[in-house]
Amino acid sequence: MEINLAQIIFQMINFGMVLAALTYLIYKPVLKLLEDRRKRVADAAEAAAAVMKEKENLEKVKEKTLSEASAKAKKMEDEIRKEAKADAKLLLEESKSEITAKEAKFSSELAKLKKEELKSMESEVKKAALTIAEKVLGSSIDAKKHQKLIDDQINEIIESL
Amino acid sequence: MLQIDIASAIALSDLQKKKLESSLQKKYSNKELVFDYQVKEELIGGLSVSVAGELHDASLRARLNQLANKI
Amino acid sequence: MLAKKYGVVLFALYIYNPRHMGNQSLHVSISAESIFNFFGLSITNSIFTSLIVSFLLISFAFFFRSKFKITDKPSKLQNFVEMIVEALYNFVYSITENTKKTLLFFPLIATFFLFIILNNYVGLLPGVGSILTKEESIEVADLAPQQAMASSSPVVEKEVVLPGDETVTHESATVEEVVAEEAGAEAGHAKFVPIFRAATADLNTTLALAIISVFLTQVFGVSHLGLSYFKKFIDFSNPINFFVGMLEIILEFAKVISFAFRLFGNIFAGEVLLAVMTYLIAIAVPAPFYALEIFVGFIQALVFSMLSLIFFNLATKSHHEESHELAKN
Repeated sequence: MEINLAQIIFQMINFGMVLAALTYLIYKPVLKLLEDRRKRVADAAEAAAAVMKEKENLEKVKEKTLSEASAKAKKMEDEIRKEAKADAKLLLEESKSEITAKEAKFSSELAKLKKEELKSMESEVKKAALTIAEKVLGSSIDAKKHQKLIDDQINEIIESL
Repeated sequence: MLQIDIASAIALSDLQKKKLESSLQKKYSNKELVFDYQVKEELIGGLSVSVAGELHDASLRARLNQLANKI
Repeated sequence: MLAKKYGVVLFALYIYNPRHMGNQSLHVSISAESIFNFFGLSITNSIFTSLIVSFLLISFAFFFRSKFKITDKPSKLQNFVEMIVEALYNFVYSITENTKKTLLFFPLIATFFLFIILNNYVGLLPGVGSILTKEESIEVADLAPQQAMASSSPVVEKEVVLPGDETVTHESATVEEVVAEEAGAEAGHAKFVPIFRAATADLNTTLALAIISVFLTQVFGVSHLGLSYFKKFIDFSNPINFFVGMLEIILEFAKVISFAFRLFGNIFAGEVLLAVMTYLIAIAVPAPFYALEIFVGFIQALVFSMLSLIFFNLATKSHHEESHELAKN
């Protein structure tokens, strides 16, 4: 068994040459290719993940929007209901007061009407009384009374002249 | 000339007419008087004299009207 | 079908049996023998074989580079190479767990592995160790000057041994007889040696590889940790640490020896085993041993590269990191 320094160095150089050749001719290009491929796959996976995330986000936004919208709708409904109630109450009150006002007006009008009616009735009565008086007067005066009345009146006129 | 319209419920007698004409002539002595007699039953009783638009109504109708106005 | 295949293998073994190559001797030498001189450098059969292996490897590298294409549908050859490179890369990464270090160590580790495994397997090829040539006489001349004069010219003579030649003395040689080199020299006969010998079955080659590995360990250590790398060797903080540092230095040298002798011992022992088995019973029996040697050749290449890788990786880690990692585990 012999150890020969020259041979050791020779084998080192031999190994070094193989190392250099393999490194530059095989490892570097192949590793670069593999790295590129890995990166592309990773990019694709990342893109897919991004898309998924985007989708999730969109879904979340959708859900949020929906819930917000429904909450808003409910709130609006409540508000409208409340307002409507208030309005109704107000309207009711208004109409009530209107009704009372109308009632008052109506009753006053009624009173007025009654008064008028009464008045017209009174005048009717007066008329009737006059007509009756006229009739009674007409039938109660005879020729003698006529003459007497006319004589009296002539005297009266002459006096007034 | 002065128009005098005299309306009465029944026709006036001549005496009555003379008495009325003479007294009126006395009042309007300087004027010529024209007398027009009418019978109006609606006066009910009495007579009305109108001299140149001035009415002296002494009829019962006028009295009734006065009553109606009062009540 | 299987029997037929097995029969072919047996036939091949029979054909390449040294006893049918005209040399009836069993040739076992612990060191490589010189087969010719090249500008004063004695070229041994192991160097000659490793040069052929290197030449084939480098030629393959050039051939591969010329066929290499950046594509997602590689050819069968490229696919095969990609597979090997990827497997080795993952192997290195599994130890370093660091892309930068992996890229730094990978070419060395991969080349160690490929260089060693190919040289190991060369020793298993038929003809290696059995095709003989006349030994170069320089060494003989050193040992016995009168014989150098007798042969007069240092010209390399390569002669396949013929039956009935003078070497027939070796015909019934025992292992001891052949191993004892003096026997041939003393007898004054031209000695016949194998023209091929697996490079890893030569201590010089394994030493060369071991020295490269251990030397690069120091280089990587210094390049990563600076001068603080040497702290583990020279430590004056207290006598015990100083002593430990001395042990570390010795350990580095021991590593060289351990690397070199492990590889050499395993491969050389395998060759001796095969030679002896083939010499004793040529047919059928050596086949399982071939299978075993294929396994051993792979394991030794793996062991050498893995140990180198672990030492590289350890050297690039500070003590702090090491203890941190230990604590983590």
